[in-house]
Amino acid sequence: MKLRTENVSFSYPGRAGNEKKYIFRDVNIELESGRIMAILGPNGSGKTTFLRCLMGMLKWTSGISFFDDRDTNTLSSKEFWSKVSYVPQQRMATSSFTAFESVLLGRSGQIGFLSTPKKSDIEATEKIMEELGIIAYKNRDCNTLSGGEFQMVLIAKALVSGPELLILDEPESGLDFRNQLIVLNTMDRLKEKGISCIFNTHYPKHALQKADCSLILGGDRPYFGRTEETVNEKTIEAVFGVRAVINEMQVDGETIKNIVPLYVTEKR
Amino acid sequence: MKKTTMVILILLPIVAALVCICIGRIGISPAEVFKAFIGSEEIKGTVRITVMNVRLPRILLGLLCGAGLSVAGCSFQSFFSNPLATPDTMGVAGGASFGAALGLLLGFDMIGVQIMSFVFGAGAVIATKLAASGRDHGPAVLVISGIMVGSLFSALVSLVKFVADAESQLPAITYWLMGSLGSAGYKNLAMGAPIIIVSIVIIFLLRWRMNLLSLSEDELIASGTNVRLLRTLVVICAAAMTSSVISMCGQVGWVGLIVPHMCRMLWGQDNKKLIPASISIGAAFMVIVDTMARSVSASEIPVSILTAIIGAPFFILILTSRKRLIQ
Repeated sequence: MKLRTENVSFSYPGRAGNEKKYIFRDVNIELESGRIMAILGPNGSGKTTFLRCLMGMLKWTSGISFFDDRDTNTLSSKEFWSKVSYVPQQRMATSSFTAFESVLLGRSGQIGFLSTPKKSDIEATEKIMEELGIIAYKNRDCNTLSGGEFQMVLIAKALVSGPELLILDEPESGLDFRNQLIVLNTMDRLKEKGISCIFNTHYPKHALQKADCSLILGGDRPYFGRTEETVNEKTIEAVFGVRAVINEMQVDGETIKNIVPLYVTEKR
Repeated sequence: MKKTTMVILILLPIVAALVCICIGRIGISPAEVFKAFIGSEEIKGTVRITVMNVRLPRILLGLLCGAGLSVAGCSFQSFFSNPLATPDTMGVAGGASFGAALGLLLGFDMIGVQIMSFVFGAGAVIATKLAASGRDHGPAVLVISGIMVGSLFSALVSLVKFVADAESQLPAITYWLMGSLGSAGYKNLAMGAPIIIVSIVIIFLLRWRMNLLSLSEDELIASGTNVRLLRTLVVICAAAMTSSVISMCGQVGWVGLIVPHMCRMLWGQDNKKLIPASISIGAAFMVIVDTMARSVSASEIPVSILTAIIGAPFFILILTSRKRLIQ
């Protein structure tokens, strides 16, 4: 898996005479197998828009993205989605499918258009639910699950097709302490298996702790690079207008980064 | 689905049909029915004619219409991802009725009536979908749009009745609109059955994939499925089944709501189980209700009256028990 963008920009079509207002401009990213990438930025900075463009749900206004060195515009939706999976921003379950039935829907790419799930699909579904520790509520209706439980169902649904890249839109938002950790640690385990993740987040701390590289949108220009270089006190202040300190602590011989916001600054 | 459940679902409509063929103004024993089937000379000619030419086509029509309307109900519920979507609430029944009434008024033959019925039925689905496609549309908005489209078409049906010839056309249109399986004949069946059967087969094959339609738009794209093709097939089959049933036996309402929801209560939301269950229960339900309609009183009651008496309270029941979903 290799993902790359070349000077991609997005703007909503401006009215005649008005200058186009760019949501983001000239973004260049690069992601390889088994890497985690975080996308940070204030509300309305285009994090979700960036993901939706990357997945072809919206078109870049200019620039090209490449998946495995092929222009994503030339990839068929079938080719693209056989290697990429998407976990949308969490909402409450609206249908009352069971957890198992929901996860199984993720296999639709492996199942013929007029066909129904085979034994191998059932087994793959059970396996992934086992791995993610959600097999216990396999037969429960999705709309009776808690936010954390339902998020894991959505992640299982994305993983059951065996993707090389997982794209998650604010996967840990709205979850409690413990469930946030479960979701973040899941990404670590995927990384070990060589699956890449891109996730949008409102928590710079999560980028610092989990992401190999980070993209920050909403500043005077996009910042992209290795997380330790990109997410620093200077860029946080420039983009978010928040004075924050980043510190390190040693736990069991490991260095863990943390970020503490101090106060809101004038300039944004 | 367990094997025993499947066996029961296969047997249910067959048993219902065999029992119902014996019931009627003249009681006919199962032995006599069997003899009529094999063309035995031991029974009276009237009995044979009753079984073979009156009751059998009517029961076949009942099986077909019941299965068709129920599968159409499931399909509309998936297509609109709304549990209250049915041919009746989405205005499709109204549109198809108007098309058929117009066809009758213009003196078209059965094929012409079916085509007219389909065109206006499909038009009504599109109208409902468009009317509800605002920025902030909840499930209730969709149902209201459907009812509006339906009432528009029922006004147009009244217009057709108004201009129809009071001597010959009006009684025909009025009686047909009431909804009855009384017109059953083999010729009639041969026209409608292929469309209903083909549509049921297509939906049956798509049954698992239809589950995808409950997902959000972005998730649908991410599934890699040809969503447009899926949606088009589902809605065309559902509209074709509805209009074919309506052009054969008028507006028999509510079956598309009652049967799928009974099945949902028993087997959950998975269309993989829901579709086969709806085919079986829908077919049996219609045959039983129609047998009641033709045998409880001295003169036949239009079956649509019975289905509406069961269906309307049932709709309210679902509306109240699913309040959370509707809001």
